[in-house]
Amino acid sequence: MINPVTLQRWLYRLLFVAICGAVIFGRLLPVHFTHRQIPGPDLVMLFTFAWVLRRPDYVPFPVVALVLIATDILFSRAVGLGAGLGLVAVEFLRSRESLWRDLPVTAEFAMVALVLLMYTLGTAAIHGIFVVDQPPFGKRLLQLTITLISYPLVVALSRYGLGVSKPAPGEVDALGHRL
Amino acid sequence: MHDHRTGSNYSRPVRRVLVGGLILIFFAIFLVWRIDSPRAERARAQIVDRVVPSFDWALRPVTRVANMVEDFQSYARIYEQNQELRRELQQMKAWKEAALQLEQENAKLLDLNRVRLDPALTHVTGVVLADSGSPFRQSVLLNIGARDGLRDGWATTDGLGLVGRVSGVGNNSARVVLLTDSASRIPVTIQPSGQGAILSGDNSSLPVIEFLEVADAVRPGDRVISSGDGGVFPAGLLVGHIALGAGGRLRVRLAADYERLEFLRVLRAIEEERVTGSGDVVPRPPEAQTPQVDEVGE
Repeated sequence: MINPVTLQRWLYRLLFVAICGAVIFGRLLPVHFTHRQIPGPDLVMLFTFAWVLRRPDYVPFPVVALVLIATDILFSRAVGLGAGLGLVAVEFLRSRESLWRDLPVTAEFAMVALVLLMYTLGTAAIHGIFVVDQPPFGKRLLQLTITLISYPLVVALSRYGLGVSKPAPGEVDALGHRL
Repeated sequence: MHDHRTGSNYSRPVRRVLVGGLILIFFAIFLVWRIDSPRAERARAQIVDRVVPSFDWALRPVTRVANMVEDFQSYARIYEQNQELRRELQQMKAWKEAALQLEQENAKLLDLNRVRLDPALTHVTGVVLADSGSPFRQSVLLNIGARDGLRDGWATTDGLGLVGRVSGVGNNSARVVLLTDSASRIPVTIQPSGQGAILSGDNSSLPVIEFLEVADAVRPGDRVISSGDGGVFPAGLLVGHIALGAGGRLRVRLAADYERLEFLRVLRAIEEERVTGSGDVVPRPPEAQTPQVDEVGE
């Protein structure tokens, strides 16, 4: 018999993979949801960030790594770079998750904005250093802006739609462990 | 900070090492990809080949529904469209007449010149499976691949105009990098003036003309065809027409309908014969060579 806590945790992990799969799938469709010139938000990163800041145990690093490398391969980006930098960013946020558990949402938003900015700058810089063809920097900044604007929406969806919320102080799971 | 989530302190360093190792592996993969790009891209093509066709059952209905929605939206302005189509039909009739006359004339001229058209230029038609078009990368995935004899570098058209080139062939799928992709560079000829130039994509819908010798001899509306220089492409495929972009740059309005890429033709390009060697001015007679070499040796 699987205990309910483990079951719930694994269901949420599956849900995370399913969401990322849906995002990738949507991007692969020969249908354009956004204008050709305006990039859509980087939903995979957004969901990962929003979840890792709420319930880090729902997004363990092997799952994140798998999703990120799959995104790299299927979106024909530089293989391994997005995954490497993305994993660094996610682990950075995860290691400090308990620090801003009590902080307001605005502080979290600012932190995510900073991390995403570093991620974007890092990607652009490494592309430049290794002389890989890359899109103009303005377009990257545009995507960063759009991604940041959509962050509150992703958080709201995760929180109210999917029930991924920060544990309240003193909240315990079904087995009585502190969250 | 004491970690109370996992409740096990000893598992943290192990985890940290694992994460660090994974990050290192990813960067190593990136380096390998950068250093040996062709092989890495081939590996990527194989993975895509495995993954994307298995989505096919889901891709098709979703695409169909999305297209239906698009069609439904167009009902709203069906009257205008009807009028527009009538006007276009009228124009087309005129063009058809002109084309028939030209065809006859062309046939006569070809007969007079005894021109033999390249019989090796046959094509395979594929359906667009997936489209990872984004503002950063412009490519589509076809459902034909090495199984159908596709090779890297072959030209792709939509029946009217050039669309792109095959770049990355899996067994059952192939990726076509569109002319609008920022990595796309093809040699073209601009028709009335006959000048060569390079058409380079920049992720906008109108690729840029570069390395043009006399820009004054080119006007908006001129035809742009592939030139076949460097054996990259078969020559003479229609690419589009010159348009004057913002900032006075010459751009090309593509003849292929990029909004609706559904079926694409991949042109089989048979390896051309090449002239190698720099060409000796006076060919040396074969029997005179051996004694000469001996003398030099002594």
